[in-house]
Amino acid sequence: MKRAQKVFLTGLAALSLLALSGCESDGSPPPLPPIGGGGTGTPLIFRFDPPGRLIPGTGHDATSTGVTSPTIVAPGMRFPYERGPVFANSQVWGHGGAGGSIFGPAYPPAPGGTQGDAENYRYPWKDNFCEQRGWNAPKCPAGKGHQGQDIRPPTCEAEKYWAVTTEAGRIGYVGTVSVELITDTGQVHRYLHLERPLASGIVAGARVAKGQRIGRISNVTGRRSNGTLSRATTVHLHFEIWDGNSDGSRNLGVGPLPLYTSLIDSYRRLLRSSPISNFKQPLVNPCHTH
Amino acid sequence: MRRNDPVTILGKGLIALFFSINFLSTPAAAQSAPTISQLVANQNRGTAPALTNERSVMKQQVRPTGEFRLARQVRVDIDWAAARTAARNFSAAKRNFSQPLDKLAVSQINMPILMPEKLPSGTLLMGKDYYYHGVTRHNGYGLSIHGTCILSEVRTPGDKKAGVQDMHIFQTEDGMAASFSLFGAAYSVMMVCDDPKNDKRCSSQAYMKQIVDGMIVSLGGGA
Repeated sequence: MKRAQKVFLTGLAALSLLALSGCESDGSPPPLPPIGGGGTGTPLIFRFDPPGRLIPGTGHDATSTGVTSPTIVAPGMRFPYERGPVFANSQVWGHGGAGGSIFGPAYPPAPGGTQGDAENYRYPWKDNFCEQRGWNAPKCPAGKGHQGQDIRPPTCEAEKYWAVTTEAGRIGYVGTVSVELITDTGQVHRYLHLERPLASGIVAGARVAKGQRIGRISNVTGRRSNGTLSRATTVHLHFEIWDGNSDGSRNLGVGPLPLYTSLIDSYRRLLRSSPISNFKQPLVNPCHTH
Repeated sequence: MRRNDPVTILGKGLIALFFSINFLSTPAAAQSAPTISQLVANQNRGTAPALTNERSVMKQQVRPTGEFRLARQVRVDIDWAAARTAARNFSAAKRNFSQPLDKLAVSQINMPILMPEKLPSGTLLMGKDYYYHGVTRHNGYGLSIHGTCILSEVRTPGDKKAGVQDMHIFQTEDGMAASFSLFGAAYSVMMVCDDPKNDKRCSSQAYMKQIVDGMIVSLGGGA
């Protein structure tokens, strides 16, 4: 009887270990703690598409990709959301996005629906640095594209989830759309579309600790002349990292750098260090449409 | 008779030479201090300068997870001679900051500091040794100026297109930005707009260039 129990427990432990180690899609991950069982009963296992893989046809031209380099430009940074699960993917070409209609017939349409579609709130993550925008982005293969990464909160509810500081540092310019963190390592981290007012004490020049709340995730895109806020985007955080950069032989100035890998790296660390409850998808996502 | 005497001729020549040198070296030269975009263009001559005297500055921080690797970082040396000449020229042209920069902040920054000549009240300057960041507030937009001597090496196919222009001016999510290297360091000037969709200045390359050319240099604490 005791022996049977032993065998049963050993088997259970082995199964648990298997479940814990199969959390990612990159082949050889170090052992990770469990990553949030979904409230709906579906296990939520962190997966991501490789860096540089854009939704087909959404690069600056039909063939251009994003940046495929495995380089991390912000080692050790904290993930910019307070908690998970969050979903890095395209806003323009996701459900509820405008798709190619804003860039012309050469670009694919968005899949339709609304931003609350459940598909927008699923792994795998998708890189959208260099996705078509029409403006210059010096590090993109085509020289043009999106200068940051878009990340959706656990649900599409505005003003519910917090963005936090990725490093200790000082707050730089606080605009209507963006807030800057000047890290003690000398980088500029830009947070866009946060709700107003920002978290208490977040003003230009303020000293901040790593992981401190900055503001709530929302969809702010400007302030009209009558003082009201415009909200011409989906609920998400647009995050950028600006720093001095080179191609190995030339000084290319300070500009927006590819950051998808730095975000994956910091999200993995957040997953390991946070309680599982912080990565459970809410039982009911009030925004989901089916 | 005396008018053609060699001593008189020599004297007149010396007086003329004195006035011409004096004339060239004061008012005319004073009004022609090169702007930041001219300094960038003259320095680069179409290609970005090669990195010199690289020093690895990456301390072993947090090891990256999985298959990722850290970007190599280098610290570039400042061309102090060029920075001093530029600062002298701005000063000779009577282009000075409209109010003093924060002395304590300046003393901690070991690189040339570019900031707008006309500094509004509430201007912020922060940084240390190898980087600085300046923030100014204007009507309808703010300026966010960043300079650093540390470069992360990130090679992408887009780099082939970089360096063709002396200064990259491009649109951002909420305004415009200029990116360039000068005196060996790397800089960006961001115009961050309150109403980026409707404020025409926020999509104007010419306006952005005008902002950059409204800037002058302070030598920082390392000079």
